[in-house]
Amino acid sequence: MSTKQPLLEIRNLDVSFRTQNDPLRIVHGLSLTLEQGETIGIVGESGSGKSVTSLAVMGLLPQPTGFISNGEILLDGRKISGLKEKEMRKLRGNEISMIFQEPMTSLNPVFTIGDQLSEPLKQHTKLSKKERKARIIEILKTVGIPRPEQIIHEYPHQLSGGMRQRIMISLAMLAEPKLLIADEPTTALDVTIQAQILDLIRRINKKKNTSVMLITHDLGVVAEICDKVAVMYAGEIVEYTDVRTLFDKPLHPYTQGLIASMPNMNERKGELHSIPGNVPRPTELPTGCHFSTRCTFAMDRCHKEAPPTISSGNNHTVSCWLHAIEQKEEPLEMEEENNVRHAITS
Amino acid sequence: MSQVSVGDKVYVAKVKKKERKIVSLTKRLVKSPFGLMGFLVILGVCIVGIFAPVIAPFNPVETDLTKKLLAPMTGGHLLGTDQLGRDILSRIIYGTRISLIIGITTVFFAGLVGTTVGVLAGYFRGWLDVVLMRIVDVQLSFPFILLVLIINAVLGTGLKNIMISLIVVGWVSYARVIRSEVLAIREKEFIHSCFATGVPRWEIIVKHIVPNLFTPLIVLASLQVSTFIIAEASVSFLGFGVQPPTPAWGNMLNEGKNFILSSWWLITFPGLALVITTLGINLFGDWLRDELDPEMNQNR
Amino acid sequence: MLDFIIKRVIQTVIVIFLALTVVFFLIRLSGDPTVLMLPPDAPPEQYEEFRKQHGFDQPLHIQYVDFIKNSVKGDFGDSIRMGTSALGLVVERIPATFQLALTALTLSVVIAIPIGVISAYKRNSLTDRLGVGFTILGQAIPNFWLGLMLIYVFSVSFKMLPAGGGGSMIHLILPTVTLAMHSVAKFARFTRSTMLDVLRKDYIRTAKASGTPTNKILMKYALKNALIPLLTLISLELGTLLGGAVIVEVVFSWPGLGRLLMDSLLNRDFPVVLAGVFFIALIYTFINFVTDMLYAVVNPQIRL
Repeated sequence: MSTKQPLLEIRNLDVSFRTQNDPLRIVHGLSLTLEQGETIGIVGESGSGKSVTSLAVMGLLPQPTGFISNGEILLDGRKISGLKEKEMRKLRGNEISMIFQEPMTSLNPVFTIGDQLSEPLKQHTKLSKKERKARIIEILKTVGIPRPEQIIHEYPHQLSGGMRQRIMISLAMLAEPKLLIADEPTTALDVTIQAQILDLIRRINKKKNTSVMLITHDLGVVAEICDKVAVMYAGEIVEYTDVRTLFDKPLHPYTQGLIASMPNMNERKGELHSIPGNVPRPTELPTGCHFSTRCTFAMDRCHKEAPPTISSGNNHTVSCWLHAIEQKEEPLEMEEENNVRHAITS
Repeated sequence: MSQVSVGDKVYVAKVKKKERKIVSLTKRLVKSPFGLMGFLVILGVCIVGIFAPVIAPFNPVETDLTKKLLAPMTGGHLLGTDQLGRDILSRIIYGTRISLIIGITTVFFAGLVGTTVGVLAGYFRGWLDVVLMRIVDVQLSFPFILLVLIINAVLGTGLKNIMISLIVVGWVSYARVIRSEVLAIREKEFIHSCFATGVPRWEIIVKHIVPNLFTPLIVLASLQVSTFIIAEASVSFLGFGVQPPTPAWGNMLNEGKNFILSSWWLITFPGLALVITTLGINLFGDWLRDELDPEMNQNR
Repeated sequence: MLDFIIKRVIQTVIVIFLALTVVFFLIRLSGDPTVLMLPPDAPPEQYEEFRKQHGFDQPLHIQYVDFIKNSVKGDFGDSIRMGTSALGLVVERIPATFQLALTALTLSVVIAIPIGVISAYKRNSLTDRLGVGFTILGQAIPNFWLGLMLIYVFSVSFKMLPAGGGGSMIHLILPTVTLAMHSVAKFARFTRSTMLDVLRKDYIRTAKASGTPTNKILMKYALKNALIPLLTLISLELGTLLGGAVIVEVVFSWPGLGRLLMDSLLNRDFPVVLAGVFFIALIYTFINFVTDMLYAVVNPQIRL
């Protein structure tokens, strides 16, 4: 295990943005590893820094404001944070690909689908024009696009949202990347289409052994396709474990809140639980634990000192004072736990 | 009555907001170097124009052939004299008045006509809209400056006629913009509530629609001022506008161009005055536009 | 598509007809050209004959009907000053004006688009600030004064280029630069702001995520999107340049339509003015029409 090289390793990553005053730290001390063929979910509300993390991996932080202020990112053991733009460009669309939240606006409106799909092949392969076309048609078939020979001559506005997201996935998969980052790939789509797209991502993951980093706010999506999960809050990972453990035994109050607020398909609950308040802005982070202002279990200490990261066996870590003090109380109520089980098995 | 006051409240709130807006606008102007520079230029031009008799060192129309075509800095003439021995600086200072009058009155009246037409067309729609907009189309099928020239050639020369022709040609762009604004405002809820409660039409127009046209009007007018000033100078330069001996920057350049071989100052300084003025107006206008209409002009 | 063309052709005809009507009445209402054309001491019979010859003795509405009838046939009468066909005089001058306007347009596009693209890409850099400063200045300088200054510097001081006249490429340089200045500024500014908008779009991020080099993103994926609104601006600018050419032609004694119109206006040579106006309105509306078609062709989201 220790000799095997993880595909992606993020070590103690800080991402900051330049502002008129001091640089603003958006992501802090983020570490995670992803093995070949594994799927990781990064979960959090908007503003938790999950998208920024994915852009940092892609080397696509908004220029010139965003930058990695600490830590490093390794791909196959090679340090990719701080690479020159030219080197990074060779990785993008080749070893690491990304699909975005907005399929409606992520495709260029004035170029045909075929034009846009041939771009990564032009950049990363030496295929001839004819071979490129064959490859594009092949990949369009695998993502379930009907009549691909005609589609490649059409423009994005002629296609539906679901179709466009399939095109985006095929664009990302053309060069058979080792890592696929999907930033809220289903948020903008209808429920039925969502299921199809998730299914497609899972199939690609299984068939090509592609590692997937799935950015989402939706724990349901995570439960469906991820192997492990990192829960982010205000720029930090607060809980990090495999998917079964997370739903069976969530330790962080924030994770518990997220799980409790999942809609349940089988059982009609009287009302949905919700976590009061919002993620604090990076300029207004509370001292101590950043979640302390919204946490029902917050103690004095939580408001003063940042919590330590505690390991609770089999790769389960959590940053919370509750668990630093020998888990004397069981915070999860039985009723909610049952609901969670339903949500997973359904 | 109680329903009507809904509209009134909106209006009153708007007026109060506007007062606060002006204060904060001034604060932001001081922080913007280009906007402030433009504002100071405009202020300077106004002062020079208003106090021309006090500031000007010589009588701008007094000829003295013994002192003709003096180079700058000679004989007490800072910017030299022209072919009739008149002081260039004094003529430029008095010429400011022409540009000021053009920049203020024609833009105002063109705006008045254009807004009236735009409001009528946009509010009543139907045949009135069709007729008015066809007139706009016809006017827009000519280059702006050519139409000004033709109308001026027909009306005859002089300041009054150049003003008339600028107004006749200039109202069109207001009418177009205002019409589309009114079409949009008309569909707003507070106007619908006025319809529903039977507020008289003129009251809807005057109290509820016109106050909302403030921003687009200011934006448009700031664009028009320098266009009109340059148009007047062009027409006067071509000999159809303000006639000598009245000093205007355009006709000074027209007279000066005959002496281009010997006396560069005749064509240089009036032109510089024109450029500095339009530059100032444009800088201030750009700033104002960014402030009032941030969505439309994020990076312009 | 065909429907659209027919509709636009009808619109164009109506606009040109109305334009002619307006100019006709404007000119006729402004006074009797006979007084201006003949010496004040000419005998009354001569006045009578002149009026008859040019149809000025008829009531206004009859003059108008005749005028419309004739102009449909392309006959605007003879020039009062020159005695030859007014339309002939106008047509003769059109190539020179077009040469000037088209050269200026080409020059502006070639200069302005790179400035705008670089400015947008290097936003807030020194290059960008210089570019923006240049566009602000360019828009504030009136073209006739720029023309005078260029003549002073290049013809009078350095004696490098001719101050006026037409016929050769050398003669074309100063008028073209003068006429193009304003358009360069306008296009550069517009290109910059449109590119800034486009570069923020999600599809540019997609192109980056595919490993596309910056140059290709700018010049292919971003520029084509920016070109659609830009193309509209450019083709409409041709009309503005034709108008601006009137002044520039006078400054540089360029033998084009603008100078002919100016001379005719000064001399109240109305047939020539009418023929010239007819032509300019025709060109202007034609340009509008072509612009709409062009927009539909380059923008795949529009299907006529």
